[in-house]
Amino acid sequence: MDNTRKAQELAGRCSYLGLPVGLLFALLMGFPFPVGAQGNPPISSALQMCIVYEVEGLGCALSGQGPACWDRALAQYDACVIRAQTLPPAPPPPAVTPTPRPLNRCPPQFYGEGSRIATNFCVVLIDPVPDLVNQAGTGVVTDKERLATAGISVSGVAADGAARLVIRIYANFEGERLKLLLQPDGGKNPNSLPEPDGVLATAGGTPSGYQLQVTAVNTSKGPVASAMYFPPKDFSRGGDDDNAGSRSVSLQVTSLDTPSSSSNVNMTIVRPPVILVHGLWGHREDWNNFTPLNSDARFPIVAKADYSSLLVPVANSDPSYDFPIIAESSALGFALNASPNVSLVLSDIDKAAKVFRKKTNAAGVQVDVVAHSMGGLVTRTLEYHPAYADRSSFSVGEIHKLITIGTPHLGSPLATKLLQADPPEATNPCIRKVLAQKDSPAFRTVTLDDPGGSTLNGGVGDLQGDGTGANLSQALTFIKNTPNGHEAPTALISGTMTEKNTTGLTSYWKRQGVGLFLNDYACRGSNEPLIRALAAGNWSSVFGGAASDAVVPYTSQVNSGLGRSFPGLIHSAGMKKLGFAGPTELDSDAQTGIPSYVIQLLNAPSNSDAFRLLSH
Amino acid sequence: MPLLSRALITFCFTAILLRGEKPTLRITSPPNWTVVHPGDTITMTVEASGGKFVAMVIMPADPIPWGDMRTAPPYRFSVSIPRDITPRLYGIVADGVTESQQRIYSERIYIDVERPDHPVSISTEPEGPIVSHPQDLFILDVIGKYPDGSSEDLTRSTQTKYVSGDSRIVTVTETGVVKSIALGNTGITIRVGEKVMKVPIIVQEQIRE
Repeated sequence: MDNTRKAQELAGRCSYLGLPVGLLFALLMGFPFPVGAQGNPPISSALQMCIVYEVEGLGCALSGQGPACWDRALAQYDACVIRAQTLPPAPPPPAVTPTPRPLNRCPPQFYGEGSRIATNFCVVLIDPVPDLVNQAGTGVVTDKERLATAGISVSGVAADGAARLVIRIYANFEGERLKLLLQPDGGKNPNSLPEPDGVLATAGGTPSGYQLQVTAVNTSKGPVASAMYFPPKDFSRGGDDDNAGSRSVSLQVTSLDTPSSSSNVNMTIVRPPVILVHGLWGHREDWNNFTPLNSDARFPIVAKADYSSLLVPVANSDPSYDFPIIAESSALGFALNASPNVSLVLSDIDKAAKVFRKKTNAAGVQVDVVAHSMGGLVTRTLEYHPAYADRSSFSVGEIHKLITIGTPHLGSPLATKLLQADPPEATNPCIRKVLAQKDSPAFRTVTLDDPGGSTLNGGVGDLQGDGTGANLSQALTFIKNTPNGHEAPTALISGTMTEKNTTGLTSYWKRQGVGLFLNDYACRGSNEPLIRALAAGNWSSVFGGAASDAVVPYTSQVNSGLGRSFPGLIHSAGMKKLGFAGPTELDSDAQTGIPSYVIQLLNAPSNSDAFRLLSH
Repeated sequence: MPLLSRALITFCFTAILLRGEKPTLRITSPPNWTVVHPGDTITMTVEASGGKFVAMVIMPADPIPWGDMRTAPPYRFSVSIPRDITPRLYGIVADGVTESQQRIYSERIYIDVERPDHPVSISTEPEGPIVSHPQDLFILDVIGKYPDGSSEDLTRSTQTKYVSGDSRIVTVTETGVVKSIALGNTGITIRVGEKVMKVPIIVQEQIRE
């Protein structure tokens, strides 16, 4: 088979990628779609991984390599297809019946069958999301029948500043007046101030105070009174709360019309879920050493988001590489990783919220995000996504607090230098190739291997900037200059390297393994600025002598403002391969102190000095 | 004169032949997609042809560490797989420099890092049934529990196989990325070795008032 035929064959196979032009995800996920561009039959999603060999085959074509290269790629592709097709067909899916929603937990006599006089009210706590969210998506409906019948019964609520509960009270008769009173700590501590324990409101109304009077109305479930409870904006009031996983507030309901008729119900207040978001070229396992936070029982959910799972077939890139590249989505820019229907981070946030609700039986709409490096900027970009502040969060957004670690809010000169195109003596192609070979490709832009040839920003391209706010990439300029109205309070943590982190550089680049290989052989002729800088005492020259964590300047990590700095740390484990010594910003608390500080921030009020709005 | 001509012709032929064979590198062992275990140390062999290589290294993807440099055959490298590595495929490339200062790369191979033992149970987060909407995108996190009590993220393990019950309703990739396509009920079947579970998926309209 000659090369042309092989190319046609491979192109035919790749036509499975022929999916709606311009929709990135349709490309990435396109294999299982019913029909390819040339009428190919549907193929199993298990073939998705075979794309690796297709792209390698295309690499043969692009690089002009001979038939052996084709044969290898096609043989690997065929083997992959056979492997994939040996998977037995799925058994027929089970008939799916959505889990029935418990209407309430009251015994049947409370449902309005006939008249009755009770000494204890039946009080049910209802999560209003999604069934009782009003049309505007900003609050709870006022329709009395729906308030009496819809929603999901829960036992508590997250202190996330956005969640709320509907309180449904089955009364004795229409017109019965009921007094509601909040008592902190389940009534055990009646003298403490009630405000940090949340406030009450009429249904559909705004928060008013810790006591309220409501009147029962007639509904299909009998006489029912409704009210709302807004939990505190933050979980901890300090003291014992810092070490608690939950606390409680007691709600006392007393009839003003039926003597001795009253009830107490405990409402559990829990911490919102915590989501850890990795950075450029990263994966969820980057957080494996971030103890104790990633295993702290105080937090009901500590989930690791992962936006690396999409494999991006690269047709061309700027800068280009002379070997095939399979890029994970975490090598691409903020827009891809925060764009509609592609945002695995937003999906992971939603997923954590669902797991949280199931695990805690509590209402909750917001999460606390702890993000490393580019993960902070992907998270900030999410805030511009329409789905970010939809009705499921009462239109205020899904993030309660954002804590960034080593995030280049104002870019990094290292990103700029990695991509620098001229003058020739200022370029760094050799080190760029080294990074790409270890699955860390630097792109200004990427053109996808799809019929539309979509072009996307690269992650490194989006991270360009001088670290003080000048020469920012378009993506960073947008974030810096465009308030989104839903910005989460953000706390900034920075790492800075010290001499001990770089003392091994010189010996590494002169005497050992890959360092010696690059210094004495592979990159010897290039005399690249970044290679020259990889020596003890020289690396800070990449940042003009300013403090950095070896990747991001301090000023950028703290957005030219205030933040907590941790000295003696490098940015990430990947830098160790270039000869830097750890620990890294994501290492354990014993090595860095950062996880404990993050927990302090998670305990701190979101309006405390540690948090601020970055684009204001 | 004829001798000189013959010498010149021989020289030219040799030069052409030498020029015609491009230096190449090929990782000959382990084979592509070889299964290795966390904590293993494996030996990688690289075959060089078409020129003399003065230096060579192999470059595995993070977090597998880079190894030593070789300046002459045999090009064998020892690779240590970290104990706490997440099960999935990791790419490795050989990188060499020829006598004429050409930098040559091998084709990438993948090693498949998997635990040697099998999970006693598997679960997903979130648990099913999962309610989604058309165009939604999400990952089914697959967690395996092992006899020693440990848990492992098996989402991207090649031992984890995903099959959509109806690819007109949802599609799923080899790495567990699910895309909701059209309204309907179906499920994703997940298999890790002998452990099989099904996650019901309901794709429904976005709620609009």
